[in-house]
Amino acid sequence: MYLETLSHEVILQLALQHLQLVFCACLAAFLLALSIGIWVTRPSLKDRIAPRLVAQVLFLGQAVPSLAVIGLVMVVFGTGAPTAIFALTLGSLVPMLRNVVAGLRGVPAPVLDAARGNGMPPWTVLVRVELPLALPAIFAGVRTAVVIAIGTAALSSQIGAGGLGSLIFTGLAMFDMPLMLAGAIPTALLAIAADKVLGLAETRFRDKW
Amino acid sequence: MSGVFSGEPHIVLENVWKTFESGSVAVRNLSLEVYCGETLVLIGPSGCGKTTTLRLVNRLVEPTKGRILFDGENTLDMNPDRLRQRMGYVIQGIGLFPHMSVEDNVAVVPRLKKMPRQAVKETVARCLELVGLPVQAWGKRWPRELSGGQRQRVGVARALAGDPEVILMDEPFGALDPLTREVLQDELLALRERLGKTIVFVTHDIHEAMKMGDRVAVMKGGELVQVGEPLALLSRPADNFVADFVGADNHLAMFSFVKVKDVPPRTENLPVVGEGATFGEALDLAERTGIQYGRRRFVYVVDATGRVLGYADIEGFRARNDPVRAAVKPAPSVAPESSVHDALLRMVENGVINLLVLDDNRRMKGLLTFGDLNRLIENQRRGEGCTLKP
Ligand SMILES: Nc1ncnc2c1ncn2[C@@H]1O[C@H](COP(=O)(O)OP(=O)(O)O)[C@@H](O)[C@H]1O
Ligand SMILES: [Mg+2]
Repeated sequence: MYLETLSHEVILQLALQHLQLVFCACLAAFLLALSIGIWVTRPSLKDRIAPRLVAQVLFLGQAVPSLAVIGLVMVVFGTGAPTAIFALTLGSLVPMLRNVVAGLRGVPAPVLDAARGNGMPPWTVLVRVELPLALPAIFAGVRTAVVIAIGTAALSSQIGAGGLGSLIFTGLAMFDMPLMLAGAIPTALLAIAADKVLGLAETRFRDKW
Repeated sequence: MSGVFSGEPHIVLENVWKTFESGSVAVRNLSLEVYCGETLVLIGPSGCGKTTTLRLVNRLVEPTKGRILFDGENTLDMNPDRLRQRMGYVIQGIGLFPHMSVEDNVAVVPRLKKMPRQAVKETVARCLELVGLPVQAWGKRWPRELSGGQRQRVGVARALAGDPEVILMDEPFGALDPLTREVLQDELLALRERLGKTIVFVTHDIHEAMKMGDRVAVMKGGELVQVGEPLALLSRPADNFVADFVGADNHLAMFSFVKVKDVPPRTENLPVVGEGATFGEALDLAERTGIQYGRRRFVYVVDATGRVLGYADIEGFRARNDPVRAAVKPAPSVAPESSVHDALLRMVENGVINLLVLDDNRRMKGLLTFGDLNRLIENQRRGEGCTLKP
C-alpha cells in the first residue's frame, strides 16, 4: 500500500475500525471495573480475603506491558478483533478499576454514616450517594484508560484486527515514512481529541457541586 | 420536673456489651431506659463509648451481648433500614450529602418512605422553616455554600423530615463557635417543646448536657456511672468521678445549670394590679404584699387577659385617684427555661432584687427574689442540694 494510492476514505475507515476496537474494549473494561470496584468496596466484605486478592492481582497486572498481554491472549484466542478487544480490555481495566476504587473509598465516612443512619438501604446508598460522589474520579479513570487504549490499539493490527496501526506498521516495515505518519498522526489526533472531550465532560461533573 | 417522664420507656438497653473486632470493649454491660418524650443526654470523656451507644440504638453497630428494645420490640428482629427511618440521626460532623441541594438533603427520608411528591415538598418546606432556613431562600443552595451553623441546621432538618419517633444526635453542635452553639441549643429546646420527640443527645460538654437534658447519663470507660436529672447529679453525685465531671463543688458555676423553672417561684402575696387600678389601690396592695422591695415600692400591672404590661413605680405617685396605667414601664423578667445564672445577671444589670418569671405569652409564672436565690446558694453550700424546700 503506497501513500499515493491511499485515499482519505481508507484512513477514515481504519480510524473508525480503530475507534470501534477502543470503544468495545473500554465499554467492557468500564463495566468490569465498575462491578469489581463496587464489589471490593462493600463494607460487609471489607475484611474478606477474596476482594483484596482480586485487587492485588489486577494492580500487579498493570506492570505487564500491553504487547506482552496481546501476545499472551493471542496464544489462547488466536488472531483477530476479539483478541485485540480482549487484550485492550485487560489493559484498560486497571486504570479504571484503580479510580473506581479510589472514588468509592474517597466518599467521606460521615456522609456514608448519614446515608445509612437515615435509613437508606445499601443499594440506595450506592446509587444515590457513593456512585455520584465517586463519579469525577471514575470519569478521570475512564479518560486515562481511553487515551491509553487509543495508543495501544495501534498494536492490534499486528494480530490482524486492523485499525490505524496497519498504516504505522506497514510504513515501518517498508521504510515508508509518509505512510507511517498517515497512521501515527490520526492516532495521536484521536488520542488528543478524546482527552479534550472527556476532560471537558469531567470538568462539568466536578463543577456541579 | 421529676416524674414527668415516668411513663413508657421508648428505648431500652438491657445489659448491652459491644466488643469490636479489634478487641476494644466500647460498651460494658450498659442498661438504660429512655422514656417517651424525654431528652436523655449521654456524656463522658472522649472514647467512653457515647457514639457507640448511640449507634447501637439504630443498629449501625450491633450488640455483642444484651438486648435493645425500641417500642418494646427487639431491634435485632426489625429491618435495620426501616428502624433507622423511624429514628432521625444527626451525626458528629454533620455528613450532609455534598452532591445534593439543601432541599434534596432534607427530602432524603421522606422519599425513602415513599411519600407522595407534593407531601415531600411540603415536609421539606416545613422542616427548613423550623430550623430557620426558609426553602425559598435556601432550598436550592449547595451544602458547600453554607456556614457551619447553617449546615448543622440542615442536618437537624434532615433528621426531622422523616417525622421520626426518636432523634439521635451525636455532638451535633460540637464543631460550632460558642455563640452559634448557644443559639442552636436554644432553638433545639424550643423545637423540642413544640415537637415533643424523644431525643438521645451525645455531648462531652457538661454545660450543654445540663442545659439540654431532662436526664443526664454519665459514662466512663464504656460503663454507665450514673443517670439522673441534672440537679440530682449536682446534689447527689454517685462518686468522685461524677462530682468532678459535673463540677458539683463549684457553687457559682452550677447556677448556669440550674433553670429558673427548677426554683419554685413565689406566687402568693404579690403586688399585682389590673390595668384599670388607681395609685391608691396599688399603694394599699403594695403595703400588704409579702415581698421585699429594693429601693422603691412598685406594683406589676397586668391586662384583662392576664398578660403582664410592666411595673409601675408608686413612690412618687401624684394623686390616689390617678390610674397606674400611665406610669407603666417595662419590667425586667426571665423565661422559665433561663438559667439561674442568667436570672442573677438580669437582677444585677437592672439593679432589682425581684424578677418576674414570664412564659412565652408574657403570663406571670411567679416571682424570683434575690432572697430566695440567696437561700439556694446557702443550701447548696451546706451540702443540702440545690433545692428550696425546707
Ligand atoms: N468501629 C470501631 N472499631 C474499633 N474500635 C472502635 C470503633 N468505634 C469505636 N471504637 C472504640 O470504642 C471506644 C469508644 O468509642 P466511641 O463510642 O466513639 O467513644 P466516644 O463517642 O465516647 O468518644 C474507643 O476506644 C474507640 O476507639
Ligand atoms: Mg463520639
